[in-house]
Amino acid sequence: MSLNLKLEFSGGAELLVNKVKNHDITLPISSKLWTLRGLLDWIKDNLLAERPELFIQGGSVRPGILVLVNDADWELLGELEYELQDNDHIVFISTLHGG
Amino acid sequence: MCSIQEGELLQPKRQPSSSLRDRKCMKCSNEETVVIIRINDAFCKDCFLQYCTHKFRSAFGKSRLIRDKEQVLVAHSGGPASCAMLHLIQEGTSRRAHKKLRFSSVLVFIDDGVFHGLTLVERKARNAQVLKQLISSGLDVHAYAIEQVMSTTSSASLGLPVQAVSADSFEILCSFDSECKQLEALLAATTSDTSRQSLQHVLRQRLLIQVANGMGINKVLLGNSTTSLAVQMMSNVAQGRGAHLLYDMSFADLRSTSVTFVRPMREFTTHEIEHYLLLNQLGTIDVISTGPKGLEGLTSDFVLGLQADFPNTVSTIMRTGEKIGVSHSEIDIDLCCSLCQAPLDTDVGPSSALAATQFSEVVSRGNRQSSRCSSEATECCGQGDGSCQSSTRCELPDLRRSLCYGCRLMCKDLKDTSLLPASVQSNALQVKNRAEMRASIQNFLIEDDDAK
Repeated sequence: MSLNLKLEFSGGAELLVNKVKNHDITLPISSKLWTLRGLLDWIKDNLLAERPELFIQGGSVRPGILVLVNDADWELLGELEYELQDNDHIVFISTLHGG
Repeated sequence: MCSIQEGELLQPKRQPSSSLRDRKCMKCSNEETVVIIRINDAFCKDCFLQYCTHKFRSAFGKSRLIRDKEQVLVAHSGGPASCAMLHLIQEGTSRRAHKKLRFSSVLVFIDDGVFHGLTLVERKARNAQVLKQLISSGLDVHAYAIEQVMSTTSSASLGLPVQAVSADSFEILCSFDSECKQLEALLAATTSDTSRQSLQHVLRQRLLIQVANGMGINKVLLGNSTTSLAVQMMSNVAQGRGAHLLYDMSFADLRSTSVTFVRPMREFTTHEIEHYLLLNQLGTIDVISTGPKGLEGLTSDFVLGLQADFPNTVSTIMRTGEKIGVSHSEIDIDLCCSLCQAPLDTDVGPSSALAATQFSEVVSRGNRQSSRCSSEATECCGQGDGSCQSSTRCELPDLRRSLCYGCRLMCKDLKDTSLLPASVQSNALQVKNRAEMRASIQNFLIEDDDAK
C-alpha cells in the first residue's frame, strides 16, 4: 500500500519545481507514519530543482509561503506534525512577490 | 529602577500546534475551520469572508473620503492583492450588498514588463491574460504601458481606452518603441538594485498620477497590503524617505495636490489575501517573482522571518508607521519633489544632518565645483516663470535641489540624470526658475504674515 498525494505549487513557488504547478506523487509506506515534516524532506530531495533555501528554511517552509491541506490552513492541523492521509491535497503558495 | 523581566518581553506566541486541532470557529462555533488569522483565531469560511468584507468596507466608512457616486480609479497589477481588491469592490457595489459602496470604479492596468525584463512575446501574452480577466469584471478598463511615463506629450493624449479585448488592444501597449528604449536606458543607468526598485516605484506612481489627471479623476485605489506596507516602511526609512512615512503608510495619501492615493487593502495581510482568493476560487496572474533584491528584498526577508515567530510583527510595524509624521509647519507644502511629488524635506536648518552631509561632500570633493555666477540679465517674455531665458536641459545641481532627500540619494546612483523623464526635468527647471524669479523680486513682495 502506498500514500497518494496531490501537490500544488503556486504564486511563484512553482518556479522552484521546474515550473510545474501540479504534482501527483506516491509516497512509499514505511514503518513510521508520514507527516508534513517528512513530506518537506521528501520534496527537498525529490522535487526541488534549484535553490532549496528559497523553499525550506530551518526544517520548515520559508516564512511567507502558505501551506494548505485540503483547502484548510495547515496551522489548524498541527503544521509539521500533521499526519498525511491518502489523497490529501496539499497547496504551497508563495506570497513573496511584489504587487 | 528598570526591572523588566525577560519573560514579560515575550510577545504572545502561537499555542503549541497540537492544541489547535479540532478547533471551532470563534464566531459561530462551526466545526469546519479553514483559516487562522491574527494570532490564534480560527475562522470558518463564511465568517472569514464576512470579516474580510467588513474590514474592507469599514476602511471606506471610517475615512468618509469618497463621496456618493464619485468616480475612482482602481490600479490593478494582476497580483493577488489587486485581484482581492477588485473582487471586494465588485461584491460591495453589487446589488446583493447590504449597504452598497457608492462609488463607480474605472480599472487601470499598467504593463510594467520592461521593469521585469520581459520579451515582447512574454509581455503580449501577459497583457492579454490580465486584460481578459479585467474586462470580464464588466467595469471600464484602461491600460497603459509603463514606458509612457517617458513620453513628452501631455497626459491627456496618452490615453488608450480599452473597452474590449481585441487583438490590438494589447499590441498597442507594446508599441511605444522609442519610449521603451529610453526607459531601458534609464534603468540600465542605475548602479544598484535598491535604486532601480525605488525608481520603478516612483515612475509607476508618476504614471498613475498622470493617468488620473488625464481622466479628471482624483482618487486612485491601490492594493497595498499590511505586509507590503510594513516592508515598504522599513526599507523607505533605510533609503532616506523617513519624512514621507505618513504619505506612504496612511489610508489616504495626500502627497500630490491633484490626486489622492487610497489604500483600502492596508488592513489585510498577504496571508488573509491568499486565503480570501482561495476561498472565492479566484485566479491571479502570477507576478514575476524576481527573488529578493536590493534593500527592499532584504527587508522583506527580515520582516517575514520575524513574522513567522511573532505574528504581531507586521501589524505593529504598520501601526507604528502610520503614527510617525512630520508636522506640516516644518515643511513647505508649496515645494514638491520633482520626482515623487511629496513635499520637500530638504529645507532644514543649517545645523541639520542634511547640511552636514552636504558640507562633507563639498569638502571631500575639493574645490572642483567652482561657484557659478548667474548674471545673465535678459528680458523676460512675460511667462512669469523665467522659462524663456533658460535652456531646456536641467543641470544636475538644479535637479538635485528640486528633489527630496530620498530621491536625491536615488539620483546619486544614476549614471546619467538626463535620462529621467522629460516631465521631471521640466518640473525641476520650473522650480529653479520660480525660485530665481522670487529671489529677484523679493524686495517687492508683501509678506503675508497672517497666513500662519
